[in-house]
Amino acid sequence: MSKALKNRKVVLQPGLCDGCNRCVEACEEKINRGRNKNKRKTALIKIIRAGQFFYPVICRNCNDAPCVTACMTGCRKQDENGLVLTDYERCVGCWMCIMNCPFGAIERDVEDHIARKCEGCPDMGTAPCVAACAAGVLGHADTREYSSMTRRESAERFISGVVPASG
Amino acid sequence: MRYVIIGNSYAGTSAVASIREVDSKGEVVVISSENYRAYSRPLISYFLAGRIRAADMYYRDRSFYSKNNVELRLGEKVVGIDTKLKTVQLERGEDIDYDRLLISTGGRPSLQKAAGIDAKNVFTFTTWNDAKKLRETIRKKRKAVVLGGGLIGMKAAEGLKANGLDVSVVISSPRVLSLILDEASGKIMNRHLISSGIRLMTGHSVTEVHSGSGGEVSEVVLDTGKKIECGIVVVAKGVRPNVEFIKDSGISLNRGIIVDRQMKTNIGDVYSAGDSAEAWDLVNRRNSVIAIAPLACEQGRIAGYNMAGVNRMYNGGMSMNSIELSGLPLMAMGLSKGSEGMEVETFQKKGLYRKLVFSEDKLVGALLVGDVRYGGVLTHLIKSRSDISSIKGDLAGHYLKTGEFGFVSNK
Repeated sequence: MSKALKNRKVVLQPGLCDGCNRCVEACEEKINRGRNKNKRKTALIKIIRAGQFFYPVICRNCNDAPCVTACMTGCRKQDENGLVLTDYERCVGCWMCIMNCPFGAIERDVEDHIARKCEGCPDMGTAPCVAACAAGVLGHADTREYSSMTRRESAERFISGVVPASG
Repeated sequence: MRYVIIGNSYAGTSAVASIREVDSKGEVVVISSENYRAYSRPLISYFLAGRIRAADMYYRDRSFYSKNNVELRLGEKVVGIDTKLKTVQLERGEDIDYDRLLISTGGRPSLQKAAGIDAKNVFTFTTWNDAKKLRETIRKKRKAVVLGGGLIGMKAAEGLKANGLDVSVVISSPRVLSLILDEASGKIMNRHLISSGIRLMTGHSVTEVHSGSGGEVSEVVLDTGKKIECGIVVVAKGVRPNVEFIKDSGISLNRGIIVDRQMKTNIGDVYSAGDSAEAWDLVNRRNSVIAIAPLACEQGRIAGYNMAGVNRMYNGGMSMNSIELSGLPLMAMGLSKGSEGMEVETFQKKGLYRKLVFSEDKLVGALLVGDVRYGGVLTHLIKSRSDISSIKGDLAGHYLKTGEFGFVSNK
């Protein structure tokens, strides 16, 4: 894998989303490949509808990520490129990260008893959700391109919960 | 510059990391009374239950201390601090000099007052050694009594139950987790625990502990006079800041060590963070001890930056807990029980309970039982003190997702 690929994370511009749901289908297809039919997992990206607007919910690799701070086992860490990565073998399912993720991007997997989230598909050139997105909402960006300031700003805007949906 | 950190858990190690981000040259000394590199205290109940291996107890890499060039002093108990001479006194006589000091000594268990409580096989449950001793003992015993129905007591009870023991919990309140649960959620949790095979004796306390041959505990006596036979007792009556040793140091102390927004105490160059500190509580709008791991990390990190000369302010923290007992998840954030004059919304259906507490236009508390999805969005709303007047009304019966006004009914 090239360095550039390792550095990249899935990023998004929510305002452009038209709710086509293809990212969700693409994610589901990938994570369920080779999995028993009745043990299918839900996608690690979700589209939320709010009035006439659509918002993709996915791990945003926050700066000083609250899910990492909250993780008592140390199984979730932020690497030097800002990617938030999880060692699921060590997750005990305490849900502290779910309680601290302002985006609601972490899911309680009852069956495996782990707190699942998007890990950015580092094994692939382009993540399936990004490849499937025709509206230009999802993309890959290098950490340098996607500065901490942008992340903070978007976090504050989207999690404040008081900004009218059109704002 | 010589940084001395007393305590080797979340707060202490977070401080090491932020000091080293700023200062690669200064000396860093970490002192711990325990003989382990940093391990996760909340994981001891998982260890007791046999759900994780010893190797998974460590939340920092083995190389953490060498990479950060830390002089690690394990198994050393600190007995005093001289803030004039700027030294820390160890129990075995040595004095350690500091330029900047962090007290991150965590909490220690409150003890139960009862005749005979010093019998053998009566344990507390806050450290890895406690869990190891318990694991040794459960091989030989079949019945256990836990004193206290708080988070520690219930996790201990669950761990003992997982080992096939017969477990009774004696709780002075009418319900488990009474500090965070209200009546309705308490009922759900009580019922759930009883159905999972844990015996709850609510509204009672233990007055006496009897021991048999070899001084080993044989039974406890309740306030009603009723006796419960047992080979193990776990005392889980809460924890308090582990700060006894600073009593004569001149450092301001309330319940915990009082710190400002930079985690500084009243004495120059002395800082505190984590369960030993009494820092800004942004829900109650005053300083308080909030003994949870995420805040210990955050406070430790802030303390470290300030100790190394970089000005960083602590935003304040709020009480929050996430716990799963016998498969039933529970989250309690902020003022989860609510208090007088506060507006409350609840939503309840079979095995599920959601409660939101409002103060004027702000969300100040949340309690989620059975379904904890999107809990973090609520946490953020409480933390940010957002004006949510426009979305109040039927919030408890909906998921508030990602801060937008996107509701999906869960009715």
